[in-house]
Amino acid sequence: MRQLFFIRLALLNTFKKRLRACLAIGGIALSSCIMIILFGVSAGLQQLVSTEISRSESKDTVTVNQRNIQQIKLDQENISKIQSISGVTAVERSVGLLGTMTYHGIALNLPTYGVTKDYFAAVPTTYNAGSGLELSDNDIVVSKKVLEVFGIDQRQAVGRQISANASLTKDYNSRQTEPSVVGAVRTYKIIGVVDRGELPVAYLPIEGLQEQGLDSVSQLKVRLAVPEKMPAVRESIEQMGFQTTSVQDTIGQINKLFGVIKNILIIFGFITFAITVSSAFTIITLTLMEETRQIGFLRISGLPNRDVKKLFIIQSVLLTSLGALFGIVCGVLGGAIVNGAAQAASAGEAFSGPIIIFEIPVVQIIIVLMLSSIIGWAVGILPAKRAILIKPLDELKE
Amino acid sequence: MEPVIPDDKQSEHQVTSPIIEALGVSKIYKVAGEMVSLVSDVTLQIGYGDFVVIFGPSGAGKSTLMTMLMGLEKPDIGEVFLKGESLYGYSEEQLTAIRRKKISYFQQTQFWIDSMDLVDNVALPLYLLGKRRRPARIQATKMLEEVGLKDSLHVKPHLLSSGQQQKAALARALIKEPWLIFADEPTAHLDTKSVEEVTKTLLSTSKKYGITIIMVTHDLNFLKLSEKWLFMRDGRLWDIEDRNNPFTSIRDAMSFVDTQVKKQDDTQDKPFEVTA
Repeated sequence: MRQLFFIRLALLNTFKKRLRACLAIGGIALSSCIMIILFGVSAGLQQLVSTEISRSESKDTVTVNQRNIQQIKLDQENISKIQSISGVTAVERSVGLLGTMTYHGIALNLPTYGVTKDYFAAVPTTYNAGSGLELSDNDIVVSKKVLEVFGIDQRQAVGRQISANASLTKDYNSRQTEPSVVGAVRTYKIIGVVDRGELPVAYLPIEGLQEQGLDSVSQLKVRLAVPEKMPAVRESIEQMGFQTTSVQDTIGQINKLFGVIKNILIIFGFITFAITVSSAFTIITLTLMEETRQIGFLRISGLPNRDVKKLFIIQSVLLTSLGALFGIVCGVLGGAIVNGAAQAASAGEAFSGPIIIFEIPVVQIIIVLMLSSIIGWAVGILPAKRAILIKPLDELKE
Repeated sequence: MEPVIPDDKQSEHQVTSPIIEALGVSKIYKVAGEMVSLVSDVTLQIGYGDFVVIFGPSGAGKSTLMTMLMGLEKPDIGEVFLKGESLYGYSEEQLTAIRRKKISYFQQTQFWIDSMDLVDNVALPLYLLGKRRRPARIQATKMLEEVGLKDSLHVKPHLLSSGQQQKAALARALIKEPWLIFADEPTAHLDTKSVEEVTKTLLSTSKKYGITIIMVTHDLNFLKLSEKWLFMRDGRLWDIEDRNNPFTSIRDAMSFVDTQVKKQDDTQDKPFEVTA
């Protein structure tokens, strides 16, 4: 019961000078709030970027490119070698060419990719309409921009017939002498629509291009049985003279970047908390100077020294913890508002899910709460020690 | 006027069972490089339920003596006994527990926690004893009714008149049913009517609860109400056992003590009622 009385008395003492208490709590709250928002946004952005990258490429896929188009080629022989590496389950091929698409007399030159049937299984894709997962000989996947050019409504695009061809360069046909040979126009059925922003792009089956003479590709997507095999598989492919990349590389770089940001935030946090310490210390010392009669009276009334200390420490911890708590609540609410605003702003944009810019930084919240209590305790100690040195009768007679 | 000190008074006022006792108590401070004895070799005994007045000029050492009797400051020499036990033989923890439970202090200007109402302020000693708020407030309300403040229960104490504040402070001092109340000039700054009211309340309630009161005062009107007169000057204490002497001022008391000391010096062997 005595503890409850102390808490009540500490609250009354703290809020005796309301403006001062509110300013102190407000200051601590502001710094905590900024910290929570910054850490939350940092974590949210990191997560968002990583997720977006992961969505565009599976974590168990290695992308293989030629180091130099003139040197070792991604031809059937090399592809077979890669397929035989332990841990590789499938190799999807793609080649980037210039193509032409015609619809109702309108022609559009656009980047055209020849891809294998299961290419889209290796490259996670979000579709605006239909799907590219079951790509067969006469199917095509186009970007939203293509439909816009041809005036086709996205919702009615799947199933429509469209003419397309691709120009094969000699880089991908070893028997070809001309720099570029325009392929035969074929009719394709649209089976999927993807969002590539303002870029018109088409994905058609690679088999047609092989008939045209294609004997090597520009890129492979190597799918692995387990992501743990990735280092070994990459090493083997690189030994063959190819360049490999993986989504893990990008995520690693992003994590490194956000690690630096977090370190900067931690330094900023320490500066903020130094300001918090000094303001809390000043206020508690001021309270001591103003409450010497109260201390004198309580000590005469039989309050032990340890309880006098406790009273000051409770007061100090209350001040810093309330500030931190208030700051955390404001920070989380602020983060929710940031998320709401981001989602409203990104409606209809190229993101593949709900945008979460701010993630509640649980660890940082726990650290802020713990630090605020420790700081409260630490800054209360010195005034508390001074309080027990007061001569109670003298103070009461002041 | 020459005071008459009958011999039989000494035995009549012999304290047989003291609640508090000081034996050869001295307190020495270093002031401007010199050792100054604020209280010198004080011996006193106060019985259960007594109303004792300590009077004397300013700077005589009354407050320092009271500080030592209350267990707030250890004497440099001598011992203080409470109910026969050495007060400073207790640990700091035990001493504060004794003050919390059995000693009250009551002074001329009261300390109040402004943000609490009168009932909470009066109940404060019970809160320090760990009593729950509701029963503590009920007890404080009863005590305030007893001292005649039932209409001011929920006001902020600093808004009360000086007389009412003293009554409220008395209620706060009495609420824990202490053994001892130390009253330091409790009626200074009060008008005559308030002095009468506070004095009446103080005496009646302390009698009712059998509480010992040790009062430091300049108001010699209290002498006629008390059982024991202790005069202090220059750190020394005289137990004036002749209470027929009507002191009208501290100066009277000082000249009385001077005369008696001179007499004692002249007749070394004769027993003397004024003991230093």
